Amino acid sequence: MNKRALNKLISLFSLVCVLLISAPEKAGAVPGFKRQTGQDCTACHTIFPELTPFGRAFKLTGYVINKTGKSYPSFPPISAMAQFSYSRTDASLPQGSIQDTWSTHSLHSENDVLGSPQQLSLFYAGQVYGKVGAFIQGTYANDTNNIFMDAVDIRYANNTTLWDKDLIFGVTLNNNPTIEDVWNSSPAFSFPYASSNIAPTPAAATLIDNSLAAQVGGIGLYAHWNNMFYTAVSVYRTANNGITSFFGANNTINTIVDGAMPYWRAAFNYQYDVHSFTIGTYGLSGNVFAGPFNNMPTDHFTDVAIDGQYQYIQDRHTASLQATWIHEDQDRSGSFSLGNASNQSDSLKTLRITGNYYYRTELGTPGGSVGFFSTSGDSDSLLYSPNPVSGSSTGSPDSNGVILQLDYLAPWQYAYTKVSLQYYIYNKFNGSTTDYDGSGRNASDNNTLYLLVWLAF
Amino acid sequence: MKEMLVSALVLLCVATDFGGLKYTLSADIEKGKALYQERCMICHGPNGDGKGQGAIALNPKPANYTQKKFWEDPNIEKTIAETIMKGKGQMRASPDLTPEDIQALISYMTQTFKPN
Repeated sequence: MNKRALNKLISLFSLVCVLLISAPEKAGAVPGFKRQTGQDCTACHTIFPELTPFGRAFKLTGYVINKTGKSYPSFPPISAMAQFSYSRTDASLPQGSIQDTWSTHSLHSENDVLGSPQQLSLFYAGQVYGKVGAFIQGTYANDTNNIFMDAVDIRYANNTTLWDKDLIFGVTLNNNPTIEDVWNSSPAFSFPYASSNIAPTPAAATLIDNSLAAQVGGIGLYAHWNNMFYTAVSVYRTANNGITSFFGANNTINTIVDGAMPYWRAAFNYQYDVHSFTIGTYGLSGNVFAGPFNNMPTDHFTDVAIDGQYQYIQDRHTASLQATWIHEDQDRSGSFSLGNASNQSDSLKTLRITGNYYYRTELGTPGGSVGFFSTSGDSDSLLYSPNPVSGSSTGSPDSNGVILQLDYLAPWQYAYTKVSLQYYIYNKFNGSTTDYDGSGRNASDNNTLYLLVWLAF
Repeated sequence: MKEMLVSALVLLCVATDFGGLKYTLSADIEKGKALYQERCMICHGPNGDGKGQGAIALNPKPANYTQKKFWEDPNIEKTIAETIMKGKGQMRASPDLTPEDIQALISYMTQTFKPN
């Protein structure tokens, strides 16, 4: 390691130490929520950002549960978050892949990358007035080196009784299908909650699997009856222009939805004492322009998914299991007419299963997760063409592997800081195990070791 | 003479020990009230009936302190203290509370919610 790199490492370490020491006492996952409710962060999160039943109630009731009982927060619910990371891929990336900036430092040639920070976020998270609340996240990310609108979920919620059972109902304005959901098996808040942003990622992903995050804006209605049956419907339009442009502010909108795109969600939930179990379905259907301009022909996507979650939350032991399966039908007639797809229709299937366990002690909460992921689908030699690192030599979108992660959460009495050590292991990447890109790169070359320090204020 | 002595004794008690005791109890109740509002009210409700804002998605529902049945257990104060310290079901533990804090909470709950 050269002297310059060592100085950078020492500077990063010092910065992390200063932040750890200065982290406010009893900060929380989104500390504005904690200050508003007076509750320990573990009331809403098993280990952030996974939600407990109380956390789900807090979100469903519009982020307005308030220990003062007033119609407005005692002070503006502003919070902040910082993520510092180290990433190492098993084989270095090609020359020129990583640009050194003030927040991105490559310690060795195109590898051993420090994100210092990887991400900084500012939140308005909590009650706005009365029954209106919001979770709005603005973010600086080191890979894009700019500030942009990250997550938006603005809600009005109310409750009544229907057939003598509680009914929560509400309206949400948000910028990502499934961000309105309260279970961690649907994509917006699913494992892994953070990962390296310099490591190569598979070429194929379904539209509902976060491909529309901050690319759209929409309005939805939801209802949760008897703490058992949940249903939601929303409609989205592009955040590229018009009244929804706020939802994608300063983002590059490269997935442009044509017209309205409906989204649905239905789930059955049963919670008793320390156990909670959920099974559900979600999906969307709509047109997306087959290129970066809205005068191009369109492709049509229909995503149908099923998911489930089990949680066991005891005072010391917390275990949970999440799974989802997504099937996407793609009518690629737009891309086909432009010569960007070799098939008129394609399909993709994604499966994810994650198991988590944590043990809460006075000295903090250690634990970890094991996740399996798989995306497979029809081969399409134009959609998935050979290209160094990001391409496919076979035209196949198939990727699968395992994520191993160890976490440590500092005692909440001192600071809410999460340290994670993650290892991404690819068995198959863009269709192959060896020479997947046609340039000699193997799937295992993209295996990534990732160390993350996640601070909340 | 006897009446004067009794009156003097009562005055003395009010002005010293008994007054202090009353002050201490009052301070405990206030402390317990503040702790209840900070930590418990969201689920157990401002009236102690288990109908707080957060109770809507919990099963079983939070305890209802206004029911006679809740207070029938002769060891109820010990049970409450253990529940606060160790947690129960979806209720998180509060290991940071001191025994004095917990006693203040129980005093407030008893005085405010326990039916006659």
